[in-house]
Amino acid sequence: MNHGSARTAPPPKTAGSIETMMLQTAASLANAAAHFYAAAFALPFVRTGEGAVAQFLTTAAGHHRAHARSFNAAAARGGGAAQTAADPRYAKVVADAWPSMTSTAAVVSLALTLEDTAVQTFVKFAGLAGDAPTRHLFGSVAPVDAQHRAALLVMQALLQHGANDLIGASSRPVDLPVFVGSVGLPAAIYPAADASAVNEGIVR
Amino acid sequence: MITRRSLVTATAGAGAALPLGIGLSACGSPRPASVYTADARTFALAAAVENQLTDIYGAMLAALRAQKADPPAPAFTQFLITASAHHAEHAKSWNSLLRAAHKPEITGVPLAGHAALKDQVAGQTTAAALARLAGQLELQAARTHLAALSNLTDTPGISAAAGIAPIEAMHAAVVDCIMGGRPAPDDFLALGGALRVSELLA
Repeated sequence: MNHGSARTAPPPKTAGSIETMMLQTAASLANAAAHFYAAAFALPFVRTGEGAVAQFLTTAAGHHRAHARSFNAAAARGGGAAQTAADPRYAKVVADAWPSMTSTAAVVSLALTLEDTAVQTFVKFAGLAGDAPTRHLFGSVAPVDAQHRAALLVMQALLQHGANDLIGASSRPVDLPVFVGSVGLPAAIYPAADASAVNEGIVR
Repeated sequence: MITRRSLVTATAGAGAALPLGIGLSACGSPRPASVYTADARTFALAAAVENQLTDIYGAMLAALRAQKADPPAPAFTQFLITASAHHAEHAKSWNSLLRAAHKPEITGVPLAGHAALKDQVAGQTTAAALARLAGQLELQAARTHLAALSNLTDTPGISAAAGIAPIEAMHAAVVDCIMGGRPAPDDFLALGGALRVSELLA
C-alpha cells in the first residue's frame, strides 16, 4: 500500500519504549477491572441476586486476569516490569463509587465504564503499536472486552425494564423484548476518543 | 510469541464450521491476476465479508418475515436490522481504503463459499438455527479483521481493523445473549475460522 501511510520497520521494544508503556497501561486497566469484579462478587446482593450477573463477573474477572498476564509477559520480553496494580485513574473512580455500590444496577454501570475504557484504549493502542505481535495482542483482547460491554448493556437494559428474570436465562428467545437486539450495539465503529493515555498506567 | 508466520499458519488452517473456499483452481482454468494485491487484497476481502453479512442478513430477515423460520424472535429480528446497518458502514470504510489505494470498490460478495452459505441459510427452518449461524458469521468476521490487523502495514487500514473487529464481536455477544449462551466464552479472540485472502474471487 503506498498512499503515504505505510509503516517502516519498528524500533525494538525496550523498557522505556512506547510499546512497553502501552502494555503496562493495558495491564493496569485489566487489573482495575479484575479487582473491581472480585470485590463486587463479594457483595451480598450480587452473590444472592441474578445468577447470570454473578457468573458474568466471575468469568470476566478471569478474562481480565488472563489479559493482564499476557500484557505483562509481552512487556517483560521488552525488558519492562510487570504492572500488578490497578490503573490509578480508574482505581480512584472505583474507590469513589464504591459507597454507591448498593445494587446490581450500580455494579453493572461501573463495570460498563471499565470495559468501555479498556476497549477504547486497546483499539487506540492497536493502532499505535509498532510491531505485529503487540498489535495482535491488543487486537485479540479488545473484542473480548467489547463482548463484555455488549452483555453488560443488555443486562443494564433488562434491569431498567424490570426484566431481571430474563438476564442470561433465555432458553426461549421468543420471550426477549425487541430492544435486546440493539441495545448492546451502540456504534458501528468502536471509538477511541476516551482511551487512556499511553503512560497512564506505567510502572512508576 | 506471535510471529507473522504463526499468524499466516493459523489463518491458513481456518474455517471448519462454515462453507468456505473451494480453491483457486476449482473452476479448471487459471484466474486472471487480481488487481487487489498486498494490503489492498486484505481490504477487498474485508469489504466482501461485510457485504456478505449484509446479504445473508437480508435473506434471514426475508425468511423471518415470510414465517419460513419459526417461532418469531423479535429481538433477533432487531439484531439483524441493527447489525446489517453496521456492516454496511464497515463496507464503506473498507471501500474508502480501496479508493485511497486507487483500486475498485467491492460492491458484491466475491467469496468462494457464498453460494453454499446462501443455500445453508435457505435450508434453516427455525429462528434459533439462523441465530446460531449469524453468531458464527460474526465471529468469523471478527477473526478475519484480527488477521488483517496483524498483517496490514497501512496505518488507516490498521485503525479500521482495530475499530471494526470489536463491533463484530459485540454482534456475536448479542446473539449469544438472545440464545441464552455465554456472551464472551473465551479469554482472547482467536484467529481460527478467519477467512483467507485466497477465498477472495476478485
